[in-house]
Amino acid sequence: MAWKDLRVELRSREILFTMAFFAAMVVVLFSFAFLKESDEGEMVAVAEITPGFVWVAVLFSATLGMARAFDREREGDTMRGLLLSPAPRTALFLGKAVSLFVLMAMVEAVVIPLCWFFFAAPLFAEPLPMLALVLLATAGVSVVGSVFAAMLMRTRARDVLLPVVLYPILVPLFIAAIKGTSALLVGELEVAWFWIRFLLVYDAAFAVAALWTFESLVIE
Amino acid sequence: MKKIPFLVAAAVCAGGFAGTLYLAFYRAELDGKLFFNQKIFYYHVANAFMLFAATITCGVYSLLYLRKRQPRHDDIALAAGELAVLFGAVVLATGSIWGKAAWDRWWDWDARLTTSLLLWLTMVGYVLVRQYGGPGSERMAGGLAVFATVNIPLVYFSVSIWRTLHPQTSTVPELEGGMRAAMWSSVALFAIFYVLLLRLRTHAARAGRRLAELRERALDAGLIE
Amino acid sequence: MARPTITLVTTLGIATLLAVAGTRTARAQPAKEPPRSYQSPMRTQCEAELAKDKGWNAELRLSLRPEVHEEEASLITRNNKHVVMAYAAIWILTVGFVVLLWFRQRRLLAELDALEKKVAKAAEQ
Repeated sequence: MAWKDLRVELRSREILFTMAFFAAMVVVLFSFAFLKESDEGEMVAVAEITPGFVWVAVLFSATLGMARAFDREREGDTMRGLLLSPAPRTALFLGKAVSLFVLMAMVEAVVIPLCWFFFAAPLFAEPLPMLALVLLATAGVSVVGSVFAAMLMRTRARDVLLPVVLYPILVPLFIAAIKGTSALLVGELEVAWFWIRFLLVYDAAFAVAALWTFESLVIE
Repeated sequence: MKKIPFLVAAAVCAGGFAGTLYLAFYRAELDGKLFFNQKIFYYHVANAFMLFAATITCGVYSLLYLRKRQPRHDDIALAAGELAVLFGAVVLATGSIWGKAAWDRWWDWDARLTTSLLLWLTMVGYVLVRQYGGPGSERMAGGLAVFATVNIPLVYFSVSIWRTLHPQTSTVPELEGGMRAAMWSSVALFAIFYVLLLRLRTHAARAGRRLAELRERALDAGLIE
Repeated sequence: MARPTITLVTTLGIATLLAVAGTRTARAQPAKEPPRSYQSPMRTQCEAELAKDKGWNAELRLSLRPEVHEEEASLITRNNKHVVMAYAAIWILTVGFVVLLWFRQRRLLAELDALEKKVAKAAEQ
């Protein structure tokens, strides 16, 4: 399932490029809002804010990606075909989640080096914890996001309702990601590992919830 | 809903409100640190417990509805969802006023406050999806309710995981004498009040649904256009 | 995926949750130490100075009299502004909700009446 989705996305590249570009624009816009002059007269990002840039940009572009990914299914009305196929529902769900995960990972591969370059933030100082943090956060967002995007696929007010409904659930995940990243920037490994454990528990809890609900939600 | 049990429950609630207020203001000891403003605590915690109860009810019945597709489960879930928004609003309002009295701030982004706010926002989203989601919104909202329920342990244990301004969960079991009586009677009162409101709202939801079905059938039979 | 797998994943999820939560809360409770009185060189010096300078001693005692602080203390202990605000909020929200329920009930009954009338009229024809 995932391969099929990925192949479609990669061949068109539309979603990937728009997501990545949108994320980069968000980073640039935020830099205008939050940079200030340091003592040496150069524009410097406050160290505590850089993780915010990264993760808010990721969140916004992920929302775009979720909405668009299920858009394609709706427009082509291929959902019915997929549902009638003998593939089990959960595989359908996991396929969507995995393709969203890969898309987000590619966007992060753009955004994180961008922030490292623009803001001189030592985001790669502790590669292993950073990688764990990023992977766990992305997994959480893709699982929860896929469920909600599938839920709201056929709603009239989908584009407005998706953030309204999704963000309160995702905020703890993003708090963990942001605080974990800023702990890594400062070098506090203990704190960073706490937030990584938190992400692990969060992912486990919400993956279970997603599995419980997904099956019943996709029947139109 | 049957008339007699309803009247009895309503009378118990009315008496209960009077009784708990008496217990809270005349029988409970004056707190050593916060003095009079500590009395907010009794209704604040009771409402918080009911917020959890309402969210869990909504989540459980939503899951049941998603599995079994029985409309009466959905009615209960809708009622519980709206009540969760009510209790959550009360908890946040009273908690914020307590915060102003105790710590001189209306709001502080500590773990307990933030997670409670997020839980409340999720339930507000639930109500919004039910209202404006169009056909099939019961299932979508149901999924949302399940996620909100999974969030509850996070809210409850946030005070023990992080150091927050909010008092610890161990404060409640350690209460003594007059305070304990006022506290637990408030919880009992709001539990009865919650069940009462739940039944009322479920009744109304079921009536609304049956009305819509009747209208459909009348349309089909050509009785109305 | 079949039922057994979902059950397995659920169980694993809950086990992970409990394991991590358990270790975390265990670490989050620091040991409580009983408070000890703090003897510092500054305290001994202060006491010595107080014994020497009777004027200062008297001044301090004067400003520490209960009457001076009574006004502030009564303000703190009798302040019930916030309690009133909080209970007002509770009542407004709760009663508001009940009122909304009431209006919804009335609207339902009115719709029911209208439907009944229409059906009766159509049945006559």
